[in-house]
Amino acid sequence: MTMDRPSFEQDIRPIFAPYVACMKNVVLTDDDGAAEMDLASYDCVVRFHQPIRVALTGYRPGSTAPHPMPPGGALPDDKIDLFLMWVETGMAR
Amino acid sequence: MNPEIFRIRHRCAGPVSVLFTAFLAASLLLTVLTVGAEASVRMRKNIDDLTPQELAAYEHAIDVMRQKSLANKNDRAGYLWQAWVHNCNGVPVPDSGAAVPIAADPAKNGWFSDADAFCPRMKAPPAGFHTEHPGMCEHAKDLFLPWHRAEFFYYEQALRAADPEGRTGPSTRGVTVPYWNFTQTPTGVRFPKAFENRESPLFYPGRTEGPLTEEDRQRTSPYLLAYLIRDLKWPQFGGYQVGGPGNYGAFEAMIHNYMHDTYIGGVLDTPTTAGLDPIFFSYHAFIDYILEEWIDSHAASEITSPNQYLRGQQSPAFQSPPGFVPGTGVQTMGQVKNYLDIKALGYGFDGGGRPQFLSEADLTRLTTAYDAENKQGFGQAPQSFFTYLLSEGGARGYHSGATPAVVQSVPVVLPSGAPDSLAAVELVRKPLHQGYSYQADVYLHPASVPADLKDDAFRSRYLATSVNYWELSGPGHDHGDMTETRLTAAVQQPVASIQAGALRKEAWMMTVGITPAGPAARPDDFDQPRLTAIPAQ
Ligand SMILES: [Cu+2]
Repeated sequence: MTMDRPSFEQDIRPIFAPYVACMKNVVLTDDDGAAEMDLASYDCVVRFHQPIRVALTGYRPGSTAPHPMPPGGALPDDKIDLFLMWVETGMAR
Repeated sequence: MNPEIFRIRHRCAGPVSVLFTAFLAASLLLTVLTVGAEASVRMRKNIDDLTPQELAAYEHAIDVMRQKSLANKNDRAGYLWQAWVHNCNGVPVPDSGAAVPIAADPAKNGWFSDADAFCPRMKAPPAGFHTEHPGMCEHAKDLFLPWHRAEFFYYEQALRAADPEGRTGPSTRGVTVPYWNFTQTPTGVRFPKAFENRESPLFYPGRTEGPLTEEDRQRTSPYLLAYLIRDLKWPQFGGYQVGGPGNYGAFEAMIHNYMHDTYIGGVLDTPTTAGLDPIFFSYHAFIDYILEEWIDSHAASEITSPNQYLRGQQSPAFQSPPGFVPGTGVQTMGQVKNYLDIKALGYGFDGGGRPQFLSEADLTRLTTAYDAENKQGFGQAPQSFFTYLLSEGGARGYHSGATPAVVQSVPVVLPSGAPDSLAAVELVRKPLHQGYSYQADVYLHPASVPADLKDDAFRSRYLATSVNYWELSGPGHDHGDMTETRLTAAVQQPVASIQAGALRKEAWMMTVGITPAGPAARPDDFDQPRLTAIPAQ
């Protein structure tokens, strides 16, 4: 990756890989409609980056996420920060 | 601020009552004038008010829906699919579309076996199958109440479609879900009589049995319910938007969750099985009535996330709600805004000629009495306002929480009470292999008063709030590990009362007692509780 602009394919997709099969069972909704939560899909992760952000940062103090993700404990901080940076820098493919 | 004129209620009762009465008169008149035009509005009745014929039609509808599921577990008009709309995220369905028949479990009063009915593990479907998404329910957020209303809009269509011509029993054409008003004395031992008839399809084995405990009575206090409905604005009442300042609404945390895991129990213990027992639908039909009562006391326009879609895949044979516009991607039940006008949705609630809720005036009477008896405010009055609500204004004290498994005490600084902010407690349970439902009793007390939770007088005086967490992990939700859980509960009323009273200069402690339902909790399962301030909206 380029340190200042992470990309989905190189940086984000590998983080989510272990959770793809499980999360595909779940449908998420927004103001446009609904979709299977496909963590391997760029479009899907872009579309639901807000609830994903809330869930991934849910273990941090001050979060209000009722059920932080992933189950079993927080991702390592550097991975969460990478995701946040990916969002902040415009969610490059 | 003068503690003498401290008042509990946020609302100004006088003018509101006058306005409200005028509004009520006007709407009564309107009802009389338009009653002919509203012939298509179906009324949901109290289950104890059903005629024998109406009850028979409801039981027949459920029985026929059950038969449909036995013939094909994936029939969307069947009872099992309708239960899955609540319970399950994904189920494997054969690519061929072939029916998957299942057998009734003789040990379950004609209902399905757990193996057939519980949600499958959340993984990729086997070869020859694809995943379909019946639901599932929304909890711990503002979608909680609207989502369940949408679920019922379709469930009632499934009931009516069961046997409209009355081929194998009474016609189901006019069937609605009868509600169970759990704030009134049950007509059976614990539930409405109809649910305790073991011959009826309304009976599902495994529920909590025996007469109501004092705790059951306190948690179903009509005063507590009336207070939540009449005095709490939307996010505090109905839940916060995802990523917003809170999560659970007070109704969900204080009443709904307790009813599931303790009062009713059985498959209602967890969201992934709750819909399997038909008592779930009558229980939640009353919750839908509560939502309507809240809308009548406030305004539907305050409900957040009006445009958000509600997940749930239903039979294409069923009608969509008025105003439905399909969204992108997978099928849904429509948007929150499609579910805010029940008349347009074709139903209403029949109170049976008697009040099903305590009125604004009843509540004012209670809170005025409390104010008069307890001018000293929180910490000095022998019963906190919350205890008073639970014990319906009686002097019975707080009957719960004497033997918690986990007790945590922390010194707290009372939030400053900035406008538009609420004092709230944050409860965090660490990730566990086996999650559990629990009750959290939150006490605020001067540091000079030791927390003695065995002492009824201590609990009654210092109880700031009490909330329940309803465990989400269950069949099909097993990730191997359970996630951390967070519950944010407002304690604005007691904190404001302290700040208006003589004890405001004291050093304060917060003690939280955790009483788990089921397996034992370990003392280190929870983080230290925090008292914080959250934005009100
Ligand atoms: Cu429920």
